[in-house]
Amino acid sequence: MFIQQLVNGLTIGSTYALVAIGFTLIFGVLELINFAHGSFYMVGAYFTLMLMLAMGGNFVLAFIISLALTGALGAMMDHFALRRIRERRATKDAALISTIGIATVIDHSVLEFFGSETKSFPAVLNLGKITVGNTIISYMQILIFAVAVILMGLLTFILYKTRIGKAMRAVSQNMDAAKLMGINVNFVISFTFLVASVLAAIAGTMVGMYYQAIEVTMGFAIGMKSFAAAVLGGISVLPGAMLGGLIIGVVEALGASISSGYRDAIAFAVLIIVLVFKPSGLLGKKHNNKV
Amino acid sequence: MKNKSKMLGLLISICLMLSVLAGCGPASEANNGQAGSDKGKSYKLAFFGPLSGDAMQYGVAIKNAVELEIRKVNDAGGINGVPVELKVFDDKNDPKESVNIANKIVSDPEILVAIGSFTSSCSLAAAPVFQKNQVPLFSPTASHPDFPFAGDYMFTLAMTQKLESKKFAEFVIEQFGPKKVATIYQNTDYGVTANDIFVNRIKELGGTVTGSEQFISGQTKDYSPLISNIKAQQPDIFYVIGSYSEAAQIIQQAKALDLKAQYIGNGQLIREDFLKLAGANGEGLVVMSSIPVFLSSALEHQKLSANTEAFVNDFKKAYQVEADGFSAMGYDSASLIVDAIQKAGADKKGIRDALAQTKNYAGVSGNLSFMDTREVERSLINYRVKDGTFIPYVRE
Repeated sequence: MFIQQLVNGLTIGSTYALVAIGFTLIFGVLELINFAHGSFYMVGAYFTLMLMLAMGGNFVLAFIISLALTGALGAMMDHFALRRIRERRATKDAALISTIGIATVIDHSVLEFFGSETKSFPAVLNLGKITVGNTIISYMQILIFAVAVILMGLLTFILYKTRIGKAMRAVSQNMDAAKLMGINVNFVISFTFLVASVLAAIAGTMVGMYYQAIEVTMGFAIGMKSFAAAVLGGISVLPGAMLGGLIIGVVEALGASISSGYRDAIAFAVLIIVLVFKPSGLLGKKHNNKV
Repeated sequence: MKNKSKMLGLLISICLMLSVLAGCGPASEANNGQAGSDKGKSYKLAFFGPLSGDAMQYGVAIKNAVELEIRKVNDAGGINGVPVELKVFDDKNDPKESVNIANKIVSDPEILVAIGSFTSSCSLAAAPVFQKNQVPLFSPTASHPDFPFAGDYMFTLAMTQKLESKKFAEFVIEQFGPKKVATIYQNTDYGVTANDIFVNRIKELGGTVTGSEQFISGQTKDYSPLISNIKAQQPDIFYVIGSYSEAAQIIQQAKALDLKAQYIGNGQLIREDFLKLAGANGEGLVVMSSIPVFLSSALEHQKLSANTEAFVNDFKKAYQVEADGFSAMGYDSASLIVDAIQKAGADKKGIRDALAQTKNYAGVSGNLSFMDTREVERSLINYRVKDGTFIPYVRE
C-alpha cells in the first residue's frame, strides 16, 4: 500500500517535473516567471491530438509536427511580445504580466476552437503493466519518469557542453555584456523559449497519453504545482526542478492517502516549511541579486 | 409668478406620470383581450422559464413540451369543451426577473396554475409570491430540497437530491445485497449531500461502507492515491459521484490499478461523451438516474412505454429536435395540470388538492407519485454500459 502510493506519487511528480524543467529554463536565463508555460503544455497536447485525428492516427508524425508548432509559438511569443518590452528596458513585471496575457489569449483561443469539453486521447502506446506483490506499475509510468530524467540530462548537456548553451548562460549572467561580446541576445532568448515550449509540448502529450484525456484547464492546474516544484528544488537549477517535482508528487500522494481533502494543503505546507529553512530551495545556490 | 409656474410644472409632471401609469393598465388589458377574446371560456395557464440567455435551451425545450400537450388537449376539444390558453414569460434565468413575472401572473386572477421555472433558484425566488396568493406553482425541474417546503402550493416533478440518493442506496442493496461499499465524491454541495445520504442509507439497510474519499474538481486529474486507498479496503461496490469527465478518469485509473468491484455511477454520466472518454473501461458500469434520458444510442436497445414513445415521436415531428428528459418532465407537468383542472374546474384550491393526490401516475418521464410533503417520488431508470452503449439495466 505504501509502495503503491509511492509509485503513484512518483508518477504525479514526474509530470510536474516535466513541466517544471521548462519553467526553470526560462527563469534561469531571463529571471522571468513564464505564466504562459502551462498554456503551451496544454496547446502542445491539443496539437498532437488534433493532428493525429486529422491524419488518421499517425501518432509519430503528429507528435513531431506538434513539437515544431508549439516551439514556433514559443519563439513567436518572445519575438512579438516580450522582445519589445525588453528593448524598451521596461521592468520585469511588464514582461510577467504579458505572459499572463498571452496565457489568456492561448487558453481562450483553444476554448473557442475546440470547445470546453474534455477530449479523449486515444491510448497510442498500450504498454501494459507489471504487478509486484500488491503494487501495480504501468510501463507508461516508467516511460514518463524516464523521459523526465532524459530531458533533464539533455538540457543540462545543452547548457554546459554546447556553444548555444554557453551563450544562454552568458545572457543569464549579464545581457549587455553578452551583447558586447558579440552574442545575438535576441536569438538566444528566442531559442530558449523555443526549447522550453517544445519541452512543454512533450510534457503535455505524455500526460495526455497517460490520463487518456486532455482539457483546456489542464495547463492551469499543473502550472501551479510545477511552479511550486521549481521553487522547492531551487529555481534556475535543472536537477532541482526534477527533485522538487518528485517531492511534491510523493508528498501529495501520501498526503491524499492520509486525508484526501487536504492533499494540496499538505503538499504546499511542505513547500512553505522547506522555504522557511532554505529560501533558495533544496538545490539552489545563494546568489546576490543583480542590481 | 415664479411659484405659480413651478406649481404648473409639478401639475404637468403629475399628469404625465399618471398617464404613464394608466397606460400600463389598458395595454396589458388589450393583451389579455387579444389572447382570449371569449373571456371566461378558456382555462388560463402561465409558463415562465429561461427563454433567452445561457439556459435558454432548457427553457425552450420545456416550453415546447408544455405547448405540445396543450395543443393536443385543445385539438381534442379542450377540457370538457373549454380550451386551454397558455401565457408565456421569459425569466432569463434571473431570480429577480422571476419574482416580477410571478407578480404579473398572480395579478391576473384568471390564471389558474403557473408552470416554472427551470432552475431551483428562480423557482424558489418566485415561490413566496405564488404561495401568498394561493396560486399553484408547478416546476417541472426544480430539485432543491427546500422547494416543496416553500409552501403547500408548490409542486415539482424532479426528485429532490435527498430522496434521489436514498433511492440509489436502496437500489444498490436490493440488486447486489448488503455488501461492502466504497464511494468517491466531488467536494461540492451536490457531491457532499449525495454522498452523505447514500452512505447513511446503505448503513441503515445493513450494508457496510468501507470508506469515502473526496476530491476537489479541477485541482488534479490524478485520483490514484484515493483509488489505492479504496483498493486496500477491498469493496464489492464502488460508487463514483462526479461529473462525467471526472468519473471517466476515475474509472479508467481504478481499472489501471486493478480495483475489482462493481462500479456504479449516477445520472450525470448518461452522455455520449462519457462513453467516449471511458472507452473500454466503462464496460459493466451500472448507472442510476431519476431523470429519463432519451440518448439515441440507448434508445436502440430500449423499449419505451407506449406513451413515452408517442411523446418522443410527436416532439420530434413538431420541433425537429430530439426530446430530452427535461422536456418529458415539462410535458408531464402540463398533463397533470390538465387532469387536475378536469377534476376541479377553475378552482385554484381544488386544483392544488387534485395535484397533491397524484399517485402512481404513468407519465412520459416515468412513474411518479407525490408524497404527503409534495415531494415527488419516481421510479429510477437504470442502465448498464455494454459494448460501448447504455442498455437498460437488468439483474444479472
